[in-house]
Amino acid sequence: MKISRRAKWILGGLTFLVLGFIYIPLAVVVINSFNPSRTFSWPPTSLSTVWWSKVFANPDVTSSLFTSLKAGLGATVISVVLGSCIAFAVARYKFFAKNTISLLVVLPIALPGIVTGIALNSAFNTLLQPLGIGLGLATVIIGHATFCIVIVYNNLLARLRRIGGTLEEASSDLGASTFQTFAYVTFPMIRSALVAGGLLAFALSFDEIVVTTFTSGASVQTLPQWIFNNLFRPNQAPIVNVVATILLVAFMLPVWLSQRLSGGSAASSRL
Amino acid sequence: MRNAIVLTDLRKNFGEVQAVAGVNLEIADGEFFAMLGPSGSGKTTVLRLIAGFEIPDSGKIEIAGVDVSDTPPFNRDVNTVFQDYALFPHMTVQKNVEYGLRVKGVAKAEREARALKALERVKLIGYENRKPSQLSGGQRQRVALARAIVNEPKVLLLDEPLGALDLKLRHEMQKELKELQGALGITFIFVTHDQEEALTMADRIAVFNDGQIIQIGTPIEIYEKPANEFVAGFVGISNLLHEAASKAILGKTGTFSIRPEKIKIGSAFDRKASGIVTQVQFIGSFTRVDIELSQGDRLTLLKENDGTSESNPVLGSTLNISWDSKYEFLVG
Repeated sequence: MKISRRAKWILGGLTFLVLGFIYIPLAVVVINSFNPSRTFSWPPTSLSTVWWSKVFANPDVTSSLFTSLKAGLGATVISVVLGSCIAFAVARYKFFAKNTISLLVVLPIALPGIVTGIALNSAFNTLLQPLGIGLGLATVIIGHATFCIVIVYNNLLARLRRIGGTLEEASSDLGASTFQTFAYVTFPMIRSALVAGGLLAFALSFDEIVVTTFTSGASVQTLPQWIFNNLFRPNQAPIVNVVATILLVAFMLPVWLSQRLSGGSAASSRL
Repeated sequence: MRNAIVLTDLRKNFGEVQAVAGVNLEIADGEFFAMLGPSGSGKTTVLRLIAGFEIPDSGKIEIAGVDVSDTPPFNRDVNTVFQDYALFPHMTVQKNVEYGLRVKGVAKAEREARALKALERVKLIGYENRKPSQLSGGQRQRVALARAIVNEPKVLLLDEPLGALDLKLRHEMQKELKELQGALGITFIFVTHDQEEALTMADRIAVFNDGQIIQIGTPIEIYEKPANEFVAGFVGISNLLHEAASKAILGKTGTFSIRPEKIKIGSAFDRKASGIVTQVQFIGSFTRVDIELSQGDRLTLLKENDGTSESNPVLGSTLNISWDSKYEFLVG
């Protein structure tokens, strides 16, 4: 389609405006994390890493960072294992209520986090509490896994459908056992989709706050929760900027990597 | 001669669809065998049943005298050349060809040597380190062939092997496949919907329709003596004389088939007829003439442009034709 020169300028300007609207505030956060002034006088008169060193000395920040990492890793592992099992079943086999099951697996990503949160909270309280298991890291991981599975499942299902079944048939035809076929043909073909799905799942878990709030209980605090709790305390505000910057990088890196690995096909509604 | 493949009352349904409805077939060792039929006739399903990708509902599959009906594909001594080639995209040409040997635990030096030999056979030396995506369609076809023959299977199955190639390449590969089969001496079974391909390459042909074999025979038998109207129509141009015309011209009852090149202009032969010329197509080495008999049947004849006969017939004129009665066959 041809676009007139004027329309080009207007569209270009709008693009810059929208991108600026998103990224300038992020840049301000990053710059302010190096701004030594407690009141964020703008523009910064000097740059310093004073808040950065304070962050790593803050036990609340480091412990919530580790909680987030553990929750992210746990949710990712569960998602990769279960998500790939379902993806293989749906892509390669015929079974009863296949389409319904496929829909039920994908649905949690479309559910509002607050609904998932309330549902899980009451389920955990009524089912696990009597068994002596309270809300904590484990329940956060389970809560995150409910929607992280979808990311891995969607990524892998798309890949499995794209590569089709003939390569596996060819491998089997050439004398490879089921295990050899998986190791030499299937796995190398799906590896990048698995990694991309896993990275996205991790990123999704790492910045999650709504479901986390309902499933974490009093003893566990993830990094996003810490930020939320400290955002309005003037004393902590400079540190929040630093943590936000860390989160930003921790969040963008896996998404960027997964985009590269899956060739841009890993778009997800929630991200 | 020993049989490479014996199929006994083979049946396979997909839901409500009868894909293979009772197929009996014996294919001799070293034969170049074609399974010919329109799409959906069950020929590809039979091939997949032999390879082991589908499990028959009933019936028996024997390969070299051994019942393999319940054997998984990786334990069957057959290899397949897939229609879309199914080359492993993440491996080089060399690794693709070596694959069958690698999974069977053949030592590295031996499998490299054998892979090179197979690549030499299909004239693809110098491409060992390319990826399949860097090859043309014809080259991929050759890799698929090399990948199959390197395992020295008893039977090679080819699923529409030349379907994706252009006309010129297809003719070239037809010749090469035939030569390759002669040199290797292994049984080739190939599936095709192209009657010309089946006629030119195969030792014997099975014509499929609706999940059943309609006729088995050599190309000449299939072409000259089609078993019924379907075969007559599917293989070559069909000239059918139905009840009225059969009675008037042949003095017989039933439907008869005559091949177009057997019908000559003039009245030199014992069967004589005449009709109105409805179409004249100049094709180069011959001219295709369609005539309509007064009994309603249409006949096509091929007039050779060898300079011995007069000019082409005129559209709408009445033409006298004749043929030798030994070339007419009852088909229904």
